[in-house]
Amino acid sequence: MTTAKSTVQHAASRSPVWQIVAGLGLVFVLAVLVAELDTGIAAWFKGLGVSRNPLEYPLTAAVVGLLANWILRRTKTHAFVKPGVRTELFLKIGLVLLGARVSLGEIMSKGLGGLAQAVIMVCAVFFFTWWLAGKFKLAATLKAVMATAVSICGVSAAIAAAGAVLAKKEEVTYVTALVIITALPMMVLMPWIAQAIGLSPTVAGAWFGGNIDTTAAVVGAGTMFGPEAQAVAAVVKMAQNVFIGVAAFLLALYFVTTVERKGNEKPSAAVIWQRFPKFVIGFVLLSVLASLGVFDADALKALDGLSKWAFTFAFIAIGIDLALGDLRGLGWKPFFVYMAATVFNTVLALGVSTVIFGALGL
Amino acid sequence: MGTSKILKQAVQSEDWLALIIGLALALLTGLGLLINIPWPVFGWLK
Repeated sequence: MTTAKSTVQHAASRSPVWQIVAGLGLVFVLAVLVAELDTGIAAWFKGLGVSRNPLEYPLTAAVVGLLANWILRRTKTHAFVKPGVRTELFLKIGLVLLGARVSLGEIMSKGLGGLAQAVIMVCAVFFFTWWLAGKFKLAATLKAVMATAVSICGVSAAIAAAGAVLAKKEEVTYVTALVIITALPMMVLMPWIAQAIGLSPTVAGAWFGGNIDTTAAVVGAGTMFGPEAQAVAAVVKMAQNVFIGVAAFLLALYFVTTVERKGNEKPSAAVIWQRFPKFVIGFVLLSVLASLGVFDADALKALDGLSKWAFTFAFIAIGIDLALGDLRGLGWKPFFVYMAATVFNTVLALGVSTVIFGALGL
Repeated sequence: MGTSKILKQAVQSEDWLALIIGLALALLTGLGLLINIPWPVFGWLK
């Protein structure tokens, strides 16, 4: 894998500069188009009374990328722009910058309950999904991406896990599409169910935050239930986001020392370091700096924007690179595992939030 | 290993390149150089 990867990297670095510039330029222009579309979609949802766009921008970016993919292949220019379409690079830059959004201090200041719920939910849901995916014999990389996405926070976590375990592009796209498609009906249904079974705003908010996989849909569900539920939902979600770095670090270590290990070979510290995804260091570093208050509010907002730009580039690139046959090749098993894990997540989150925010009143 | 060889290796490895670009962007933002740049850099995707 390492040899194939470095061959691709060497090929990219040997490509004429103007081919790289053309690819990068195309991705940039498409990103601006995605931005415009995203603004339009957000305005449409606002008109429906939903304050944040639940149809998250990665899906729009991937669809735009797929359309570009079709046009590029038709016009036989796909190979020409390919050297500038650097999916992995865009993803990893976005992940380094994402670290600034994860501030442990902020979470701690907003309540222990959210952190307690996050620890229980992330561990239980991750290992349940991992176990179930194992039963259905899903690939180790897909298993890692899916378990992280369901247990932590959807798209960002899926991307982080994919970078750490070198997952295939189609695996990331498949899981990302499932995350976004599932989050939409949940955003509408969960506030309605919470109302029907008479949950308090605090417990309802904790339930949304601990269960719905995308941040926008969490906020959307909270908004529909009320301001108190929205605040609790956001805190619980943020507490879960803290685990992105931890999960990426542990997954990278596990894959290097166990999954990618050949025979009885004992990986040396040098081999672990060589294969370890270095961008994780950047993520953790920026997370620590943000926790120490190094960045002010304006800088954090700017870093968040930059991170989203990098992810938009990455999802457009995924769309451009993707061969639809690869997606179909994954079959129905990942879909079933994802849905079963979501049901488990929903039921467990209801129980845990009722105990922590209801009975214990944390 | 010479400096140029180390630099070449860093540029060819996406991991290192992403780390360098990400931290450089964070540094520029932290220093206030990348804040308040008009559209299309931060005017969307809030």
